[in-house]
Amino acid sequence: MTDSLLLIFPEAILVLTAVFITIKWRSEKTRVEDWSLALIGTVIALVVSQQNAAHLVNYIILGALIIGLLFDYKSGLKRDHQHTWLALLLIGAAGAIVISSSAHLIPLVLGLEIVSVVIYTLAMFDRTTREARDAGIRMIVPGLVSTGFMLLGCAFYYTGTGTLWLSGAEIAASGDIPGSIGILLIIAGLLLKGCLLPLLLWRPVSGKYGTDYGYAIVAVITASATVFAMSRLMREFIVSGAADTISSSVLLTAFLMCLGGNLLALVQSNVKRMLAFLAVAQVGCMLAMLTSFDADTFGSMFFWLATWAPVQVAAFYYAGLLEKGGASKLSELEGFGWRMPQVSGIFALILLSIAGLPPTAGFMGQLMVYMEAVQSGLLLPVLFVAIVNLAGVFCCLRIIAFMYMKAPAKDKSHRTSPKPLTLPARIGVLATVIIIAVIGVYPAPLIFIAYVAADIMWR
Amino acid sequence: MVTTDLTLIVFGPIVLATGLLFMRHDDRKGLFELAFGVSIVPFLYSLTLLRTFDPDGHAFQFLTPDRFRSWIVIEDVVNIEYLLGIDGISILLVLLTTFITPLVILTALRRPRENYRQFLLALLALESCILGCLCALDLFLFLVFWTASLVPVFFITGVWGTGRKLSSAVKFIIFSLIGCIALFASAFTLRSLSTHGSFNIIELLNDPNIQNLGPYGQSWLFWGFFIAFAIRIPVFPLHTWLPDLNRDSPATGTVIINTLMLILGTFGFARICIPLFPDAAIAFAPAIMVLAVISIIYGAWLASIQRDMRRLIAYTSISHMGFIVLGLFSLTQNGLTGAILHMVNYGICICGLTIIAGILLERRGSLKITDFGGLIKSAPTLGVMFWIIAFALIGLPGLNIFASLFLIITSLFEHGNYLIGAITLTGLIWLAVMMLGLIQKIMLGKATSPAIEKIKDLDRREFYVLALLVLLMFYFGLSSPSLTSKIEPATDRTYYKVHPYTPFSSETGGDQ
Repeated sequence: MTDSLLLIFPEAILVLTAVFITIKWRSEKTRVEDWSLALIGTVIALVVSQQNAAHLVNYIILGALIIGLLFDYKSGLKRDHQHTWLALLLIGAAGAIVISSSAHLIPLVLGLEIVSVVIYTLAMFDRTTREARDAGIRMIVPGLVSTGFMLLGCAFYYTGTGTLWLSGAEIAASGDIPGSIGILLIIAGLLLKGCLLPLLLWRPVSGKYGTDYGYAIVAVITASATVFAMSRLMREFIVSGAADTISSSVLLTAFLMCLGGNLLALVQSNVKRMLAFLAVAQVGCMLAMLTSFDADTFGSMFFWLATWAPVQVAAFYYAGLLEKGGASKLSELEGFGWRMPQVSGIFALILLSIAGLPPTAGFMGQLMVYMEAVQSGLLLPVLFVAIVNLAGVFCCLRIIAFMYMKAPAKDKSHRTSPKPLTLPARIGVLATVIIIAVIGVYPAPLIFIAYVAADIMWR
Repeated sequence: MVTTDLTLIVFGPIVLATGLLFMRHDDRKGLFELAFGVSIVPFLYSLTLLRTFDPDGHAFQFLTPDRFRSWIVIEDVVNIEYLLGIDGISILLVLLTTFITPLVILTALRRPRENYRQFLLALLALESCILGCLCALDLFLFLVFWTASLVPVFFITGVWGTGRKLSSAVKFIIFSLIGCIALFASAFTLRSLSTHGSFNIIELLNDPNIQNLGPYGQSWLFWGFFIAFAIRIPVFPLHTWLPDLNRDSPATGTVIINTLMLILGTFGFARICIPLFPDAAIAFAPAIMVLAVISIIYGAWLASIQRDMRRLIAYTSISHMGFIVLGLFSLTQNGLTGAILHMVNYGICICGLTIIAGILLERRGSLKITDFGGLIKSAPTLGVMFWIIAFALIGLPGLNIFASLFLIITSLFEHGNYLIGAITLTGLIWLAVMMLGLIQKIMLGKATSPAIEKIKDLDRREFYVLALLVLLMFYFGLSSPSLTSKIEPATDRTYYKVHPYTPFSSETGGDQ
């Protein structure tokens, strides 16, 4: 009983902190205190995370959230909005942890719905603008469809297996038609709601509240949690011997995500949208590698995920900084590299990591995943993914090229210099650079942790 | 021999160069002095390596000590080592790299005018990457350095280049990344097939699983590596990125690209393709030799019709790299030795020619061949240097390239490749005609415009740089046996790997 309670400690602490921030707001606390409370709550949740297979993903989710919070010390939100914004982030993180650690379908659906509510709210936070309302509705309708998939999948699954525990997959996939349909619908719902919709349908609406950065944080940590949840599902299929039944569907979905994400990124002019599509492509790449059904490949994928999530959060933050400097579109980035050298320099490093070029953590992550996938016999999928990812590399280099290799536009009237970074933001920058550069050169300790996590999951 | 010397040489440039970040960006003189000092250190260090290098010793020397080798090691799962070492194939190339970089920094004293600090950082980072590739004895480490070398070149061309710099930089990186995918796929497959799941090149060379794959089994792996290296060299028809990159890169960047980046491709053949997959190398050698001959002829022909000197240099490079590929895939002792020697000799010559092109661009503001003429009158020293370098490039006896070309071409005739030998000689003649034509158009005749008469001769710094290179051309031309003695034991080992049933010469040693 105590052990079971301990397992939900991180989620409980996050939710309690969110409630506390919301209640305390009425007692005229300052914004700094709200932010400090959120940060402390997240750190405590990180510390109390249990040492099980899911602990790594807890660290990933909470680590990304901490970096996100550090960056946004003074978000520019008014006080009566900031507390809501912080509470939503904490609840979103709690939902993501529930998704990643669920061994039962009900908490899985619950976690997804929690995250969905947070995402809808963040998308339409600035409800006074038409764009924000549109963004919210755009999220709600397909979100409901994916909820339908999930619930229908659960019903089929229950019909086939007589249980809602994931370990029931063994029965479901052994030729039982309702159970197999249930599994496919659950996977479709999970991927749609966890990865695809938040990132594909995103229209960054900074508006006067600038909450799109918070949206990006929640989307990234949800995607991380979904990948982890998928790896748990796949693990169950290996135990049941149903891997072959499901792998072709997952592989096809992963390829479509990879191809679609990269191709859509190519045609974007908005930097944040481009980053979002690249994120979808990379999640697709990770999913493709799950079909190896191999503990070492899972370990290498966890390693990539551990560096991927914080780097993505940092990427969206820096894209926001450039936006504040007057450049949200690619063409407006011309000459930024020399006008804002520090911001552009770190953004370039982040982009190199996303592109998977050395010496960055992203390069190591991709290389390790490809290496293990080839070892487990996935040479052709690896080749496909690597070739398609060239488009993603091109996108990242294009942003860098616009920043550094194009002469600045003559009309600079719309440009402003962003304010200097605050101390917590500087700490966030330092953490990001350490993650990218140090892990890019010496990844061994993190790789070891990731492989151990995969090994624990495998037992 | 076990030592950390190579670590200092490989990482010295980039680690010491971080000092540039703490200097004022407008202190040009200070930045130059620091960068030059940083680049001299690895050169001096590599000279001491050359002095202590034992050509008849173990195949690989100056290996990283065991206690530093664990890079990414998880027992029974992953074994990626940080392993550096050199042999006769790489020792001279390491020396060439550490020698050329200070010269490049010397020539970059006045240009680029903007963001000089970042430019020097990119140059030194590139040096580290190239040295890493030359010294890496773990395939994974090699891949890291190989891919990392793309980033500085992308920035050097994209930021400090001219004209259509962006498209040239992107073209280069897309070509190279396609090669990288092939390289990664082959390397990872190689690891999965190896006995111990290792990337260690020394272990892989003796791995029975790899050696017993046979020509067909090895062919996929061989072609994966081949494509990556052929793009970097570049071999016809994968060459189209090089002329554009040469045209649009800054002059100093072109020196390092032409001299050192291209050589990495041929080095890859010598280090990985041929010794790891000897059966496939034998099986595909005729086809690759044909490609090499096409590169020689095609490069020489296109060089002869260029109007821009930088593109001309690029096609000359393609032609000369064809000679190196030809020598390597002749799979003979002389051919292999000649090819390695030609990498060094070609590097020195093309470095000189590219530096002269940079000087001309700075003086005249253009590198169109028709914008020159009668230059020898206004800049006699420059003219003489240009002549010597041009003569070296066409293989004049007494100068360095003659020795290596001689070895390569004789190896063809010795082993009955008469037709290929004859066509190769035709290519050489074509190169000579092209180069003499270039001398005539640029140096001789009447000045085509008054601006030519005002072109200044070499200043002291430029003179010393070029004089040093010319002296080396003469020295290497007259004392090539001393160089081949360092290379031969390593190339002989490669030869016996490819032809294991050939009677073994105890003088050359055979232990891998």
